[in-house]
Amino acid sequence: MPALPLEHILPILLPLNFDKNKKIVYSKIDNLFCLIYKCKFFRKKGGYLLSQTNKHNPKYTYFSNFSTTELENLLAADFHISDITSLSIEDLYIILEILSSRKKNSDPPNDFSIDSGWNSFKNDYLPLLSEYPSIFDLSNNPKQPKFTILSFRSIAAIIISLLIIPSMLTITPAQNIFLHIANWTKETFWFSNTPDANEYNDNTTLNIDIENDFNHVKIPPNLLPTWMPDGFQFKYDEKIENSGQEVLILFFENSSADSFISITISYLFSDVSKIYEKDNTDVIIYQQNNTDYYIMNNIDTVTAIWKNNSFECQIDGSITKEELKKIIDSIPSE
Amino acid sequence: MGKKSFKGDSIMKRTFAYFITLIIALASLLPATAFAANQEFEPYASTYFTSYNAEVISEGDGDISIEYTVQAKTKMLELGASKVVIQEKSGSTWDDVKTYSKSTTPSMIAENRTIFTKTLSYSGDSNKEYRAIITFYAKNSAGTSTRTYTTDSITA
Repeated sequence: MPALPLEHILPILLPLNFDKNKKIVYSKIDNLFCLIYKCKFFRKKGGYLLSQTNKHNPKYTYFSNFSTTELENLLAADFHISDITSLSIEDLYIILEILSSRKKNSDPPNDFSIDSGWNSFKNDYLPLLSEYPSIFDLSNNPKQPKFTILSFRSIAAIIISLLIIPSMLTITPAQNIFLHIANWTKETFWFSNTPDANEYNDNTTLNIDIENDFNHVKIPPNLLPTWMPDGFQFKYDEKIENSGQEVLILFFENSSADSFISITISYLFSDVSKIYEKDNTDVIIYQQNNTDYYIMNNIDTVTAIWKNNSFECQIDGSITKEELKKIIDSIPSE
Repeated sequence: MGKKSFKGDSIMKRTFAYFITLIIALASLLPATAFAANQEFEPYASTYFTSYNAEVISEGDGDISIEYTVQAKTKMLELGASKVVIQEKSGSTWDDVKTYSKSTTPSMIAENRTIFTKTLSYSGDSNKEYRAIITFYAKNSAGTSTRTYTTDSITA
C-alpha cells in the first residue's frame, strides 16, 4: 500500500467534479470517505497510511503509462461505475500516488490547504451519505437496471447453492442440526452422528415386556405406532444386544394378503452406523410431530427410518407408502 | 488500450471467480463420495437384507474384536456372515491376517432369525492398524444373498 499524505490526495480528488445529482456518484463517496478519512487519521497520528510505496508494483508501471488526463478520467469514470469490477482500492492508491507525484513535480508545494479540503469534503459530500444509498446498497440506483444488480455471478452462485446444499445437508427444520445427518446413495441409507449427538448410557436397557399387543411394549410411547392396516397381526419379536446397541424387532403379518410389517427399535449405546438397503428411487422426507421420517423403497418393501435421541427406528413392510404414512401418523407425539 | 486492459482484467477476475465457485461446488461433494468409497457399498438393493453394520473394536494389548449385526426383512433359514477377513495394514497395503468362514466357524450364522449379531476375536499386535471385511449372508427358501462390507480401521 502506498504512502499518500492527505494534502496530496485531496487536491486530486476534489476537483474531479463529481456529479452531485447522480446517486451512484455518492455511493462511491463511501470509498472516497474511507480513503480520505484514513489518510487524515494517519496524518493526525503524524505519519502516512503505510510506509511503503507502490513504485515497484507492476500496476504502478502499468498506470504510469497513462497520461495525467487519462488517469483523472479513469478516476472520474470509476466513481460512475456501479459494477464491482471497477478500480480496486489498491488501483486507486496507485493512480493517486502517480498523480500526486506528477502534481508535486509541476505545482508549487503547499498550495493546498488540507483543512479547507477536508471541510469541503465534509460540507459538500459527506452529508450526502445519509441521503443516498451506500456503495453496499446499490439496488436503489435508478441508472442501473435491477437485473444487473443480480449479476450472472450472483445468480450462478444462488443456483449452485440451491443445487448443492440440499444434496449435502439433508437436515430439515424438524431436525436438530447438531445431532443426526441423514445420508443416502442410490443403494443405501445411513445416519451419521456428530460426536455429541447421543448421550449414550451403558447401563440403560430397554424395559421390554411384550404382551399380546404391540401397544403394550414398554418402550417410549412416541416410538411405536398405534395403528396398523387391516388384517395385520403380531406374529413374533426378536431381540439382540451387543456392545453397541440393543435391538428389538416386532413382526406383524397379514397372512391372507401374504404381506408383513416389521418395526425395529434400536437403542444405541455408541456411535453405531447402520447401513440400510434401498433401491435407487428417491428418498422422501416425511415430517410428523417434529420428526423427520425418511421414506424409501427397497425393491419389494417400503421403509421409514428415523432417529429419536439414542433410538434409531425403522418400519419396513410390503405395504404402500400411503399405508406407511398412516402408520407414521399414528405414532403419538412426545 | 487502457480500457481494453481493464476489460481483460475484469474478464479474468470473473473467470477466476467462476472457477473458484466450481471448485468449491465440486469439493463440497467430496466427503459423501469419500465416505461411500470407504464403505465399499455394493450397487444393488435387496429382497433379503434390511440393514447391517460392523465395527472393529480395540480391546487393548493388541487384542481386537469384530462385532457385526445383520437384519433381514423376514425370518431367514440362515442369517449371519459367511466370511470375515481381518486385515492388518503394512505400509500402504492391507494384508489378510485371519479369515473366518461359516464352514470353520458355524456360529457366524444362526438359523431361523430375522436379526443376528456376533462378535469374533483376534489377537493382533499393539499399535498395528486393523480392519475387517465382512460378507453378510442370508438364505431363505428362494435362495441366498450376500453383501460385503469393509469396516473402518482401528489401531490395536
